[in-house]
Amino acid sequence: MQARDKSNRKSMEEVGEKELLSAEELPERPIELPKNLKEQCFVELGDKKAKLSPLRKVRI
Amino acid sequence: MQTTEFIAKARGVGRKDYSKLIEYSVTPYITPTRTQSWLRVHSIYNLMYIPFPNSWEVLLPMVQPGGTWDWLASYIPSAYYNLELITNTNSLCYLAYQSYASIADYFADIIHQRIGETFGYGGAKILWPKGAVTQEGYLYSVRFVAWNDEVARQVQGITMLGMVTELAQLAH
Repeated sequence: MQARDKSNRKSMEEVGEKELLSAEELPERPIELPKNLKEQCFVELGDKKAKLSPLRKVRI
Repeated sequence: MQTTEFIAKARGVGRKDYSKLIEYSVTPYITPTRTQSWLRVHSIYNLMYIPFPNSWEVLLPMVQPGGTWDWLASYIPSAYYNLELITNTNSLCYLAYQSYASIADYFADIIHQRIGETFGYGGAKILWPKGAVTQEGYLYSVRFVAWNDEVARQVQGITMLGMVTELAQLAH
């Protein structure tokens, strides 16, 4: 078998610490929601639909 | 129920099989294909973060004779085969399906039977290969949540796939 071409890879020493972000430097990543998202909740049986009940908060 | 008694013959090398009485029960669940119809639950919620021991619960409407819906299950059985939680966060997820004996029990949070319960990362899924069949007079609900450290809105959705028979009676 031929050895893999590792020319494009960098070792950890080559990368150095500068390219790695610390935990404090990580950007805040808000959860991106789809713009056209609409809450929907229903049961479908053929052409008959019914809404689910409102959500309630419970302990598991 | 059918009971059969026989003596299992010893075969090969090793411990003998001492089982003499093997009882098996077969409850036929007749599902003529002409009266089957798919039952699907679609839901997408844009929810606030809640901490660990808490989860969201939603009550499922049940099919009634005449094509109406009610919270109490009718004599028309709904068999669910698949329950899946989808979320957009890679967090610990919880998913459960349970029944309540009455509406008062539902508000008092007294669960009659925990039919399925699972955890997962990024999502969760419960499969009932033979179907989780509803019983008359009970309420059925789904609990689901995705816990993470981000105090932000997150999208969670549950889908359920099931089957309803005796649709012919719905038409009347």
